[in-house]
Amino acid sequence: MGWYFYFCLFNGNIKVNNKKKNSRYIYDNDIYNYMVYYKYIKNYIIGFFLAIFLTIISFFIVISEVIEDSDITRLVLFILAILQIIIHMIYFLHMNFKSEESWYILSLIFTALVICIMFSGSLWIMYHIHEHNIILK
Amino acid sequence: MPALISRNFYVTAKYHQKNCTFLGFWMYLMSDCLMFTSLFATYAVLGKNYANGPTGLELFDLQLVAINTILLLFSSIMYSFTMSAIQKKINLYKILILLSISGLLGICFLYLEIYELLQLIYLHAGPQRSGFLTSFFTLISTHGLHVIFGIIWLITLMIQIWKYNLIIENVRRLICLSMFWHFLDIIWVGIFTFVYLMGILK
Repeated sequence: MGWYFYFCLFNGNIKVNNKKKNSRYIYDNDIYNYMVYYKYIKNYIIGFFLAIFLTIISFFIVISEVIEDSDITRLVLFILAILQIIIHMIYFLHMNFKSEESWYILSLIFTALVICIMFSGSLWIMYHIHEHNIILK
Repeated sequence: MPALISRNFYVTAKYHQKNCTFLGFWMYLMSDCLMFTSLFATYAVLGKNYANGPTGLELFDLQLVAINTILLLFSSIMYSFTMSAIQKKINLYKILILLSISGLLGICFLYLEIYELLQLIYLHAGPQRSGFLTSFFTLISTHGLHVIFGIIWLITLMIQIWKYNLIIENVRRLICLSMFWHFLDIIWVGIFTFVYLMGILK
């Protein structure tokens, strides 16, 4: 039984090791497949300029005080930040919806969910505690 | 029981995902993201507790923040250029120069961040002044610590590449560091929006 498990678990690895025993240099290896993402400089430049553009817009909104209502400004800033984070994810961290890499996007969605719960939950609770304290005083 | 090995079980699936190091590192980044979320939530809760002390409007210097943002973004894009240089099999020394430019931009960012925090302490607006400043210092210096470790990692990798060339292991580490570096940039987007820009609004 032990042999069987050993065989099952390490079968893939043994194969790879036998096949590519002497290939220590990167261009012969599987990691090179991952490097394909880094091929397109154009994508980086697009992402870079989009990020710069969004940064300038958000700084401009705050400095010049175009929008008078500060709540709307906050909302716009929030949307701009989310947009910029998505741009960073797509252009710099190579997020995509390929089925081979579904674990990346799945863990990202899970983290986003937990972040929403943590952030809004703690704000909600603390806001209510604050309100009750005011009543008691 | 070696006899079992010769039996043909119907096992054709792969047991290991390809490049699963990157998936593991991605999981680490996501857990780091959760840590930063709790710090952001702390700041959101305590961000208005000035205790009659200075407010964000009086303390924050937007010019410095803008320079910091640009520096970190440039550092990020230089790192990406390094990775595509490796992909395109460009000369090792050019790769090292690109990496060191990216590292130097990171060090400039760190210098400005430390300068800003020291200036705040000098103005008697240190972390013990109010709840707002405590959460602010915790958030900013955690990000700064991440940048410090990123730079240490980058210098170590540069020595490794210089000594052992671009072997598989080094490229794997470089890819992990690129993910880390871009992740720090994403956190900085959150910081300059939620802390600095929203702190300056009335």
